Amino acid sequence: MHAFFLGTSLFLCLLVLVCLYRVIWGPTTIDRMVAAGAIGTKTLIILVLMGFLYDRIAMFIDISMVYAILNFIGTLAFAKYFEGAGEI
Amino acid sequence: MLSRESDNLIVKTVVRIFVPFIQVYALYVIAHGHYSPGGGFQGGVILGASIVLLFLAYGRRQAMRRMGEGLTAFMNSTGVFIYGGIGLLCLLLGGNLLDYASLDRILHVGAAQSRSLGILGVEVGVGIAVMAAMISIFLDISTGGDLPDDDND
Amino acid sequence: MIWQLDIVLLVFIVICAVAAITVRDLLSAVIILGAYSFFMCLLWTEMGAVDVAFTEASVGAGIGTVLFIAAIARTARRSKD
Repeated sequence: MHAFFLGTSLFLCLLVLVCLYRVIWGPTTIDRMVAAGAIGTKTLIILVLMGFLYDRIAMFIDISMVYAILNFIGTLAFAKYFEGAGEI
Repeated sequence: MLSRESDNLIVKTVVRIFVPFIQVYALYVIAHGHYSPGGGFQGGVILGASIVLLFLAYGRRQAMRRMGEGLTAFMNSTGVFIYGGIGLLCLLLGGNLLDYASLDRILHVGAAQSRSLGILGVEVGVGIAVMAAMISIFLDISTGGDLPDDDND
Repeated sequence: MIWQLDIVLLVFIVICAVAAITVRDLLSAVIILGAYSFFMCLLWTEMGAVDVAFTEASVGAGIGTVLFIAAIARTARRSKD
C-alpha cells in the first residue's frame, strides 16, 4: 500500500511538471494564473497522500482544507486586478 | 470600479455564503492548536483573510461599514491586552510572568487544567491581534495610506 | 523522509525560484512566487514539520499574494532591469 501511494504521488508530481511549464513560459499572464490554480489543487491531493504515507491522516487534512479555502482568495484578487484600473 | 453593479452578483453571493464557514474553520484552528497543526497565529491569518475576501468582493466603501478602521485598531489593542493581561495576572497572583499554574488561585481547577486554560487564553489573544494586523496592513497598502476621513456614501 | 519526493520537490523549487527572478513582468513573478509557496509547503510537510507547513500555507497562498497584488496595483507593473 505504501508503494501505491508513493507511485500516485510521483505521478501527480509529473502532472505538476506539465502545469509548471505553463506557469513559467505561458505567453500571457492569465495562462500563468490558471496554471497556478491547477497546481494548487494538485498540491492539496499530494498533501493528503503524504498523510497516508506517514500514517497520520488526521493532521494533514487540516492543511489541505486551508489550501482549498485560500486558493479562491488568490484567484479573486487577480481577477479584481485585471478588471479595474487599480485594485480597491 | 464596476460599470454595472449586477456584474458582480455571483461573486457577491458566493462570498456572502462562504465567509462564515471560513471564520468557523479559523476558530477551529485556534481552539485545537495544542493538538493538531495550527494555533493562534495561523487561525488569526485565516480570520484576516476572510475579512480581506469581503473587501475584495464588496468594494472598500461597503465593507468598511462592516469593519472600519476604528474597530480594527480596537481589536488590535484588545488582543495584545488579553495576552499581556494574562501574563500580568499570573505575576500579580504570585508566580512568574506567564506562569499559568498560579491561575489556580482564582480558578480552583488544579495546576494542569489551569495551564491548559491559560494557553488557550493567550492563543485567543494572539488570534485577535493577528487578524486586526492583517486587515490594517491590507487597508494601508491598498489605499496608499490616504483614507478620506468621512465617506459621504 | 521520503527521498524520491524530496528530490522532485527540490528540483521544482529551484526552477520556480530562478524563473521568478528572471521574468520581467512583476505580476507574473507574483504568480510564480505563489507556486513556489505551494512547493515549499509540500517540502515542509515531507520533512515532518506540519506547523511550519500550515503557516506557509496560510501566509503564502492567502494573504501574501493578495498584499503583493495590492502593492503592484499602486506602483509599476514592469520591472526596470
